[in-house]
Amino acid sequence: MTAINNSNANTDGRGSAPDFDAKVLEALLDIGGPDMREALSAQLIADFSRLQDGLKSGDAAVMSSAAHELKGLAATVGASRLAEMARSLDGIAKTLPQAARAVMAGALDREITVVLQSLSDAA
Amino acid sequence: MKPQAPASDTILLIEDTPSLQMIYKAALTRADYTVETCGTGNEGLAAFRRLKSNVVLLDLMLPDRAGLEVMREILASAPQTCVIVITANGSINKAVEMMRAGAHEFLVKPFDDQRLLAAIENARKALHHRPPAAHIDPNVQVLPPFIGHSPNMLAVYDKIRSVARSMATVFITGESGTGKELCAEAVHQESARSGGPFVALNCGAIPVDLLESEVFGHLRGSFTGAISDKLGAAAAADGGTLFLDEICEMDLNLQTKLLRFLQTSTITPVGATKPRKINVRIICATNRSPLEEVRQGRFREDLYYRLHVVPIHLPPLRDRGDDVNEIAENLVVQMAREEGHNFTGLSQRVRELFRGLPWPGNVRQLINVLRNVVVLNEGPMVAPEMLPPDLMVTMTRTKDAPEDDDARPALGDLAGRTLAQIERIVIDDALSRHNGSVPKAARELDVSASTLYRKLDAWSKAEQKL
Repeated sequence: MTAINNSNANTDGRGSAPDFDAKVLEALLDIGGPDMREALSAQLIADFSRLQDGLKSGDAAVMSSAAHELKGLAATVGASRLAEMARSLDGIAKTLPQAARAVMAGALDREITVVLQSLSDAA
Repeated sequence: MKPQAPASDTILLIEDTPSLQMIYKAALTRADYTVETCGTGNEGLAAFRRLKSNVVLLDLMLPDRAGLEVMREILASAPQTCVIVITANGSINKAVEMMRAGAHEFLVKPFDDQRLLAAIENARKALHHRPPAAHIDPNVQVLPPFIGHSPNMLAVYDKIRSVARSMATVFITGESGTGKELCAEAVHQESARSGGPFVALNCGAIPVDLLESEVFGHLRGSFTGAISDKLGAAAAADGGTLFLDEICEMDLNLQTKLLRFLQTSTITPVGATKPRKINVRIICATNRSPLEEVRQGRFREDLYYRLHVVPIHLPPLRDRGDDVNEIAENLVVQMAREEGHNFTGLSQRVRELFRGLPWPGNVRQLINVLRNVVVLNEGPMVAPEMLPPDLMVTMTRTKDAPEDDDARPALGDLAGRTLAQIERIVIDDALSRHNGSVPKAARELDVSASTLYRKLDAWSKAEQKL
């Protein structure tokens, strides 16, 4: 649970926040010692995958709920940009037209895939 | 063999994201706490009925029920429980609502394990120091050192008692002289932190350049004049309460640092490279409208929401019914004892007068009037002729005459003087009417306090040269 730092700042222009901070994730995976590392990695992958599915559902209420859960989880693992994107969607998911929701969900989907890859690498 | 801890020592964690559950539980287990986890509100309430946990970590958004609803059920059955609310960034307003409903503290994701453990420790300390319910006499409603039984003030006493048991930040508002510092001290005294220090800092009385060092401290050599290390007010209040009076006078840059301090519970003294963990409760006060200051861009909105968790508004003396006489009767006897005079109370005529006056300076003004009366008279009752002659004139004008913006001020002695001389006369006059308080004079003159400090400094330097 190390606080996020910006050591891995992304420069591709997709957002102001960095994409992922590997140091944060490393510290987090070590929090329960070696025995817990594998289980926590698997659970994080399961949680991010579940939220990714929720965002793909197209249902405004489900997407809003997934975005809300995602912003806290992403920030905790050091995925600052994903957290920022989820926060944007969380506030407006229920009022956004379906087409706009789909665009935002697509961007989030790509970002979650990046995070899932990082989680798999770290596991 | 280690004795088994009671079930109520088990920390109940109600969080619906399984991986976050694992992370928080691991951090707490590593610190030797026993933790039970639940993923829904209903499961959490069932576990609470079984364990009667003293400390509950509760996520704000649960799949089956709102966190607020769950917390209300917990507190209804066990009001002494310390509920620590976990919330995602961007849900501060909801967290504030939870604090008002009785939560002990809130944590914003992401938070580090140190922050989590500090919150748990604070909660456990609060439980340990909480006075047993049997010691609270429900008939005694007044909260010393306050005086007065008006319904307005009874509501204030109740609020002070309720908020004292939590870690919630308190934002006190009220006109000058209504007793904001007294209120802050009362919150501290009623809290589990009463054994710790109470440090008051008037943000308006310290020049902007020095304020950061006053709040966060500095290291020797960190700037010209820093001849030794200085412990700032935040560090001095570690384990207790930090009272920031006239918070709206705080420079915007420093507001940013205060916000960071509130978010991380760490301070970095001027010149230091490593932050230091601090455990303080913040109480702040202002005689302005904080929301208006936000609208005008003089106060950060995010800081406002962080600080404005439990607002307490102190009513002006004119709205407190007969409190004015109750306070005056108490004070006049106390002052007479100090001055060696023989006052025993107020005449009926004075009581009526006091009830009808608007008291723009509130209790502070009443104290000054009574001191004047007691020093210059022998007693035994305060009579109308003993009152300072300007009291009735000034106060009647304040009460009856609406401000006439079109009225032309008499030029009097100002005619023939330079603009700079007139400016100094006006500033000196404002300072003298506010007992030397630069922030108050600045407010009246509608300039910033730093402008007045700069002018005073320039005049002082000019006089030294002569």
